[in-house]
Amino acid sequence: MDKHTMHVLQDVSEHKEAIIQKVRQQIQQEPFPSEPKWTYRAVTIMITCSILLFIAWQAAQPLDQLATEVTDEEKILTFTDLFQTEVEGTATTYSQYFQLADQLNQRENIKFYAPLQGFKAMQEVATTMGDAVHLIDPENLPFKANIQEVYAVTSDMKDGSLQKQFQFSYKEKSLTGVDLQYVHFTVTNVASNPLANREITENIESIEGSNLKNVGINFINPMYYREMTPELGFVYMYYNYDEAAKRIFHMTTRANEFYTYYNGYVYHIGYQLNGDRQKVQEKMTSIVREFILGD
Amino acid sequence: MSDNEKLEQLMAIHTEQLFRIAFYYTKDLQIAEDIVQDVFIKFYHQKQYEERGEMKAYLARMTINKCKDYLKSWAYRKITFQHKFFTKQKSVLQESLILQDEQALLDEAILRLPIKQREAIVYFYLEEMTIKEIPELLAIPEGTVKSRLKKGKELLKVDLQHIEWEVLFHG
Repeated sequence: MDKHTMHVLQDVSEHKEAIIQKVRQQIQQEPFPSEPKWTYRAVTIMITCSILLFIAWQAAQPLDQLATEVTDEEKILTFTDLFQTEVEGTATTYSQYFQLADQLNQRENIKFYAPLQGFKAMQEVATTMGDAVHLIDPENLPFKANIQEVYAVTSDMKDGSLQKQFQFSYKEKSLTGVDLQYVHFTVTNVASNPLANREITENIESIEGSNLKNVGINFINPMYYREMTPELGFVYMYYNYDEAAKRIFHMTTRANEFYTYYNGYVYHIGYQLNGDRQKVQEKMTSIVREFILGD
Repeated sequence: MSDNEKLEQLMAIHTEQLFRIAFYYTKDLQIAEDIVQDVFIKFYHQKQYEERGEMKAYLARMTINKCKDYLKSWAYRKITFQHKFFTKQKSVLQESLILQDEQALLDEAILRLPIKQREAIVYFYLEEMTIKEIPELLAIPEGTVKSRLKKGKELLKVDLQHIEWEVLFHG
């Protein structure tokens, strides 16, 4: 066959111009200057904003209130403010399917913390994670959760930085302590995108009977969904807390799972809910996307 | 040279080829535009210009990976489903188009090929890459490229057997 150019691709100059324009616009909107400039600019912006905010705050306050101290509500809590009680732990959780890709089964210097109870605590933890987590209001879940709690487990990454794993749990617990229905959103900061290695992900996808589906978190980023398969050896793990022994242990069970990577975090979500399987799955796909991306 | 200037230079050189590559996979001009735009922005944020060896191949691989991610995405599956749903209407319209030259028919036939054969055909014949370059780009053995080329040509032959060819199989 001789050299051939597809008809629609014979003159792509308009498309080229459009792409270049869009890239320029995007870069102008979200500047990403070089490291030294970025530092100076950030410091300058912070100082300027602080001065402006201080002036605005002073102008807005009546004179007799100027001396009042900053209320506790304005203080943004840090990880160490929130998780102060280190407890015993047995093992960490990870996706059995993607452990080869993310290697979250191989962690060092692991520390477990007592979980925090309640949605307010979950919100405070989510705040420390910037834009990585968009908590789901329990009212919007497809079941009534009587337990909301958040777990934290830390470890050291290869470069020496701290790896934090949070498990945001919504559960319907029976009076006898059995988790009847649940959704666990496990979020872990990682050094690199485990789904970027196509060879590994293709191997995972080809596991016989894995039933993995790519449902996507958005237009471009993949997200894998795996329906619960009781007959296969792969299990789902999540953290639980033994209050009496002050010890974190992990539950090993089977669940429907989502797995993805987005902006520096691995998201691994497991759920077991009653109701129409298909409808629940559709609802959960939408909830998981909202948890990761926001509205 | 600033980062922006380097990016401008790269875009000036590589945009057209990357756009063509994205189109071979997605078969959609608008989506191909979005993918190439995304590749440049991602590349700009990586900030590792000097560390990259073969820039053309590196950007091409980024584009191919993005395209394959897109082809696996729910958005693409939705489009494919809609496409299948409306196929009947489309085919009726197509039949009414009597005049369609060989070039256009060949384009369509290439785009109808399965992705593996399509890759081999477009890189070899349309992008004029060598048999040594394609395996590096796609990270597959040379023998696989050759067999995919052969299979691709066979499929094209079958697909286009009802037409008398001038552009095909004379090279």
